[in-house]
Amino acid sequence: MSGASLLAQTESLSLVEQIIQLTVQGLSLGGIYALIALGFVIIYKSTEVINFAHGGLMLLGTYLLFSLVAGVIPSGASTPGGEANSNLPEWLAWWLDIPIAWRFALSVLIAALLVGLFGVFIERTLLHRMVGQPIFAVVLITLGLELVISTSIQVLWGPQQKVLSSPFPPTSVLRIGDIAIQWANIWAIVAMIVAVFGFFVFFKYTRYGVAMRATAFDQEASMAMGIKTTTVFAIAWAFAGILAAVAGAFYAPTRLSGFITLAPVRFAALNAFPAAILGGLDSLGGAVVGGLSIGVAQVLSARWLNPIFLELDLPNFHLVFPYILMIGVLLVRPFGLFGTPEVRRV
Amino acid sequence: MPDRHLRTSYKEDMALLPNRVNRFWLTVLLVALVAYPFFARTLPATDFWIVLAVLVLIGATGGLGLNLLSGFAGQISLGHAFFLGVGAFVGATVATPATTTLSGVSFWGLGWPWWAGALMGGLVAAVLGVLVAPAAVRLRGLYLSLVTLALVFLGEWLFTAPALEPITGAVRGRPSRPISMGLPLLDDGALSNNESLYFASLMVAVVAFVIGKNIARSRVGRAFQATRDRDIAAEVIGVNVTWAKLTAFGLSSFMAGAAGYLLGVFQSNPLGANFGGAPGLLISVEYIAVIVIGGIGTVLGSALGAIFVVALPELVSYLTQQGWLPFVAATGSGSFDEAAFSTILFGFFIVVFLIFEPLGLFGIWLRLRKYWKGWPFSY
Repeated sequence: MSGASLLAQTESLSLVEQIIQLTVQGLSLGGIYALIALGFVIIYKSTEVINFAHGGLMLLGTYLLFSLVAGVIPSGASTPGGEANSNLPEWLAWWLDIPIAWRFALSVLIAALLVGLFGVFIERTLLHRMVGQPIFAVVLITLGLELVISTSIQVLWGPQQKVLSSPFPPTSVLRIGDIAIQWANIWAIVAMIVAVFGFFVFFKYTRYGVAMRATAFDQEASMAMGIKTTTVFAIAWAFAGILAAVAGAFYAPTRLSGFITLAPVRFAALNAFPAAILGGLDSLGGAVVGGLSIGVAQVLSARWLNPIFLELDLPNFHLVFPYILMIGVLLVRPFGLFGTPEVRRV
Repeated sequence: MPDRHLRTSYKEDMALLPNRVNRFWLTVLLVALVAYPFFARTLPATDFWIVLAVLVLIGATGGLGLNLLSGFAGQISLGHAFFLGVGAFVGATVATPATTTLSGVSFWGLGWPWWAGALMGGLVAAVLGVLVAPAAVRLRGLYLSLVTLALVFLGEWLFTAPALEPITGAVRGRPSRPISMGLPLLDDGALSNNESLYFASLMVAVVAFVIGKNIARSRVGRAFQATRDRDIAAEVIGVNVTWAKLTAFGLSSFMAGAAGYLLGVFQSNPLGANFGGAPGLLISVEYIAVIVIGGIGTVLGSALGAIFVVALPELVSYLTQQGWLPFVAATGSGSFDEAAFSTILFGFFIVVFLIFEPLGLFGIWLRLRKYWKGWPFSY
């Protein structure tokens, strides 16, 4: 993601208009960061593990979504890159006749469900065995998993660039006066709000939501109260998978203009770490605040801080600004802005 | 350690090489390591075998650094690639004379001998490592691993920035002078560049392992382990935890820096983009694979892990050429090629070792030794 693509068409605007337009772009980027960060936080809260495989899940979601939307069945290196050469069997050909908006929405749903199931599968087969083992080991396992998932995706879908068609192409913009805002950005913000609201309702009012909060608070006590912690872990992984897929669905159209390759999607998840950390690893609200503020800070720094650093011959400052912000916050508040300070006992 | 023979005095317990058997095998190992390149000269693919050994030695040195930090002191670091990169560029600047390339970039350079490059690369990396350490003092566990992850991205930014072009060569990389050594005892008296690099790496690795082993058996190592296991309890019994973390970071980055210099010489034109961002993270993960597969918190394990991690891709490539892996395509075809298969195997082995053998290859070695000691009885 280059600085230029973040700053599309802002040169001719007045200062206030620039601030508004860039803030909306930042909020959209931040909304995606928030979705990814929520995925980290949900797993961290219930299992105390940082899931480095989240990038892999997001990648899986994005590629599944591409396959579903374009009607392309992955077939190794020769997998076609767009829907022009869909390789669906004849009895499924009606799928491509569905209007793109509905096809996209359905595909997001199916991809999210599949990745959610895959998350449960990982938890059941691998991480389940590691309950009670050092956290260090579990975290490294997720790191190993990330390698396996990402490489497998590369093998299944091939290295060729894919084109994800979406109902909101980069050319469709909402114009308010001179300000132009891409519809993709607006939808990304809407999706984030819906997802976040859904999670808050789930955690506050449903039986399993309460069970998850109890488990996060005290695992042993909740087990003694009859809560099945294994189910809670599985739900956490399912949610993480769903969130990763949804984040992928909006990351590709807003940030990559619909062109999917392996590396940028995979590392988008890593770029969301500062968001999760800034808000505090165990705070759902913190993830949202952290995500939004990192997104806005990144876009605004690309506009106003990059030129200063460019004069020092240090271009692309906005790429590292979130990390610098994260380190700064951590040195002042070691558990993030809204994280629970850990009570340490001997 | 689950198994070791009876020791009758404290002095014996603390000794670097407690008995004659240890001393004998260590001597054999050192002689074999020195003789290795001359033995490789008799093989058909001389350079291949020497390069393989160089990579193992570099991996073992860097892996030992990470093992001291993560395995002994319990500070998870994903930023190892950053320190390797610092070592590569600082070392190259110190050990290469100032040059101007065809494209008009003038590189700084001191032209000092190679060992000064390794030393300075290590020292500058160590200073930077100590600068990171305050974060480690404030933060614990997983939060720290994410700060060190930030180092990889900061590294990418700095290594490719035009401001540092005289040192790093920005996007095009900088030259790192090959090491050349003479061998007065032999008739032809000269070593090839690869052979010189082998001996340089061997010397650095031997120094690193002597340091590592001494730390592991002494007060410093015990302070590291106490910090790892129960940091508050350690503080209560008088371990200076802050100091332990600073030392661990310093030592670890020193070894990474020295190893990085050698890696830079091996690459002959180290490229900043390879030490940061996505490729850098992959390097960090490879070093984590070295210590996890070799054995977390063991000195010998770093070497075993390095052998495994360096040998695995070569083994995959060999087996593919022999036609034993029909589902793997040739390199560069973009589909399921050797590199992809090796990466999957790395991930797979990290997962498998952590679940089934947390002590890694070192643990397997311990069990084998125990089995044969009591053979044919079970204990």
